[in-house]
Amino acid sequence: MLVRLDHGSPVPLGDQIAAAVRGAIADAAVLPGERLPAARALADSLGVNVHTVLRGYQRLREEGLIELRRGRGAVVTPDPAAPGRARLTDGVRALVADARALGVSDEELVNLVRGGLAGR
Amino acid sequence: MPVSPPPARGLRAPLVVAAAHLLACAAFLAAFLARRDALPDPVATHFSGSGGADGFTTLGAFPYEMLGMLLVMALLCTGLVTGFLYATRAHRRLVGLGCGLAGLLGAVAVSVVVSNAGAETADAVRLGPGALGVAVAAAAVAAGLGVPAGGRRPAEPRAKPDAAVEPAPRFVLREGESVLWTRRAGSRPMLVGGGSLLAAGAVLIPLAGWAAGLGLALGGVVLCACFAVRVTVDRHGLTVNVLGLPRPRVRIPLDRIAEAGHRDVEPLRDLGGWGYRAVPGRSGFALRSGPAVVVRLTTGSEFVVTVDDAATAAALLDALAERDRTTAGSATDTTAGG
Repeated sequence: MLVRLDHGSPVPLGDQIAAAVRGAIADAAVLPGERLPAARALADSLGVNVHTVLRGYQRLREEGLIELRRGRGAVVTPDPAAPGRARLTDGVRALVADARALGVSDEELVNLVRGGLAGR
Repeated sequence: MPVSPPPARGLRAPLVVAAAHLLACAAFLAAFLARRDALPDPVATHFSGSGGADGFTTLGAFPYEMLGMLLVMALLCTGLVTGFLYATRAHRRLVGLGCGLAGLLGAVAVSVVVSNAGAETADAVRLGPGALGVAVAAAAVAAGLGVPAGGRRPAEPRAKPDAAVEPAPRFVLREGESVLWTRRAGSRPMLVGGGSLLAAGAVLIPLAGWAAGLGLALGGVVLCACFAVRVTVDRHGLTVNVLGLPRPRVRIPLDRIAEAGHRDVEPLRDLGGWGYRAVPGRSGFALRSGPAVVVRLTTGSEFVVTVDDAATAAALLDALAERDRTTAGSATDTTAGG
C-alpha cells in the first residue's frame, strides 16, 4: 500500500489518504479482512495529525470499504467483493471529476447516470 | 554458476540431535510400558540430594509429564543447534551438548521408572548415586556417538558477490511530499505451525503441568510473532514490526542506508533458515522464498526482508535515503508537525 501526500494540493489530506487506501484495496495490496495500519502509526509515518488519518478512514467506512471497531482498529470489510467495490467507488470519483472538468452540472450528471441505469 | 550445497548437509546436525532426543523418549516409553503394572500410584518423580523421594505425580499424569519434559528439551536442543548452525564456531560442542543432554535425560527417565517399579509406596523409592553415575555415562556415550554423526560444521552461506541485486527503478519524490509504503508480510505455513504449537501447549498444560506445556505455548507465540509482520518504508527508514503491535520492531534508519534494491531470496541458501536471521555480512527476515527488499548499509553489510511488491518498497526507500542525504546538510525540514 503506497500513500503519497501532496501538501500543496487543493484535495484535503484525509481524502488523499482515503484515495490511497482505496487504491490498495482495489489492487488487492490489502486483502479483505486484513487490518490496516493503526491511525497513530500512519500519522507518525506521514508526519500528519492523527485526526487527518481518522478522517480518511471515516470516509472509507462511509463507503463500506472498511470497518472501524474500538480496540481493533481499521479492518478491510471481510467481503470478497471489497476490491470490486473499491474500484467502483474509484470509478464514480473519476466520473464526477470528469463531469466537473467538462462543466456538466450535478443534475445533468445524475440524469446521465439515471439514463444509463434505465437503458441497461 | 556456483552450485549451492544441498540443504540436507546443513540439516544433518539438527537431525542427529533430534534423533538422540527421540531415542531418549522411546527408551522412556519402552521402560514405562514394560513396567507399568509394577508402578505405585502416585509415582515418585523428584528426589532429594540424599536419594529419598520428595516429589510425587499421579500414575495417570506421569507418562505425559515425562514425555512433555523430554519433548520440550528435544525442541530446545534442536532449535539451539539449528539456530547456531552457522553463527558459531562451537558447532561440535553444541551437537555434543545436545546429544549428551538427550542421553542424560533418557537415562534419568528410565531410572525413575526402574526405581519406582516394584515399590509398595512411592515414599520408599530411592534414586541413589548409582543411577546418577549411569546417567552421566549415558550422556558421555551419547555425546561421543553424536559428535562424529553430526559431521563438520556446514559451509557458511556467504553473501555471493555475483548475486544480482536489481537496482530500484527511480521513484521521483515531489518537493515536500510525505510518502509511506507498508505491507503485511509473513508465511501461512509457519503461522499454522505456530498456531498448532500454541494449541498443543494449551492442551498439555492441564494434562501434564505448566513445565511441559509452557515451553510449547511460548514457542508457538514466538513463531506467530516472527511470521506475521508489517514492513513499512517511510521518513524514518525501513521498519519491520510484529503485526498490530508497535513493538518489538527492527528499524533501519535512513542515514544507515547506502543503497536499496530488490532480489529473489531463498531463506535456507541466503540466510541459513527462516525467521529473523543473521549470517556473516547479512541479516534480516526470511519469511518465504521470493522477492525481497535488499538494503546495503553504510557499514557494508546487507539487510534483507522478504515481502511482496519489494520493487516499489526498494524504489521508495532509495529515493527517501537520497533525499535524507541531500537535506542532511541544510536545515530545511519539510515535515509538518504531527
